[in-house]
Amino acid sequence: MSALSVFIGVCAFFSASFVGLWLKKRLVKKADFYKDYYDYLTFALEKISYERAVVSEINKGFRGKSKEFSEFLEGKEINIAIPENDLSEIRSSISSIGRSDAETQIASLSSKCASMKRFVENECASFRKDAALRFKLAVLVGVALFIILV
Amino acid sequence: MLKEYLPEKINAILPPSVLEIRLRRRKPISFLTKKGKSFANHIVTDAEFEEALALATERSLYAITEKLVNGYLPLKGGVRVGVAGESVSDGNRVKTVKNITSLVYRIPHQIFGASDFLQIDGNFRENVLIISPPACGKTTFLRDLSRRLSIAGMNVAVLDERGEIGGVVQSEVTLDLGNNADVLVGFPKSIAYENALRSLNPDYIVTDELSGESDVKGVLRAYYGGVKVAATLHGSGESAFYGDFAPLAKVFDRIIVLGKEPRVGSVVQNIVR
Repeated sequence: MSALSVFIGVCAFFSASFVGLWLKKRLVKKADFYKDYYDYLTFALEKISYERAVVSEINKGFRGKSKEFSEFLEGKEINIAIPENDLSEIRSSISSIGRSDAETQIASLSSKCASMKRFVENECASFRKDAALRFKLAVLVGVALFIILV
Repeated sequence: MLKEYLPEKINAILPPSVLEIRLRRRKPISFLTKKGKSFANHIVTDAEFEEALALATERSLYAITEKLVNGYLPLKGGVRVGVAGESVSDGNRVKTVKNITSLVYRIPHQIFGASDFLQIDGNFRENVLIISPPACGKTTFLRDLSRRLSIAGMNVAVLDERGEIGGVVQSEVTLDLGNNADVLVGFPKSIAYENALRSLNPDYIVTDELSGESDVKGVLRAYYGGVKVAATLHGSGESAFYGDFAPLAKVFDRIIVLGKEPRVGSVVQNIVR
């Protein structure tokens, strides 16, 4: 067991763990983004139903967890592992807020909230589970590489 | 305040001290200033009109649908935008307005002293009605009257359905109504009179543009309840007390008729009854 092989083994371990961490963060960000989108729709629905708050007030008052979603809301380009189709659907859904009368707006937001709730409960939970699994797997791969190399 | 609601190109050609702006799709912009009406050498494009509409609705149509149905959009600072377009009806109910073709911005201003001739002091107890055709300064006069009543120490409940009298912006009354005015913004008149009478203990109720049964009932309720009223009404003199408004003829002790000659807001008649 030379010092060089130990060094290479440690590097392999950390590289694999780093890749695992990166994969985990990527999935967690994705889950947070969808969750924030759902929370935003719920927040907008509440503010519109009870206060008839205008879009700028809703955007200003919304406090989400995902930095990417906040930037997306501001119209900035974001880098996130979400299919372009989904992103453009979310974009058009958000930009459609404010283009109809109260009755239609509330009905449309309610239906979007209901479908997103299911998605967040099922898909986002599985994203988070996958994220933890991938990280654990990467760490295990790192340990295996270390053992093989050392 | 108005500039944030207009497209840049239109802001650039606004004359100073403008009182009214009319944007009509694909037509020249018209302005009303103290010097009179004029047209700018600028045709309003569809894009400019849409932008002006989006700014006026704060990109939130749902928030102003009820007001839009009543023909106007309230902006901050007491600016009111009259809207002309096509109605979308559901039976007898107008649901919303589409294909909007005209936006008429009316900018409030204050003329301190407009009602000074009434010599309002703490003993003033007259029910006052201000009558004039549109754009003769009724609201401006009423605003000054409210301020004078308030300064004289009376509790003034201002029923500001369209947000024009007090120009309330986020809990702040931006136009001067003195220190004794309580402003109810955006309440339908049927509710506003009740709320004011029951919970604000007013000496005076001030309201703009009497326009229907709820106003007639509200004014009579205040009158019989011992609360004085100052109000405005579209018309050209005492003949305005016709139809639904006939019961109000007995209410008002003083009728002030405003006109446009020699200048907007001139008192044409001051009738003490």
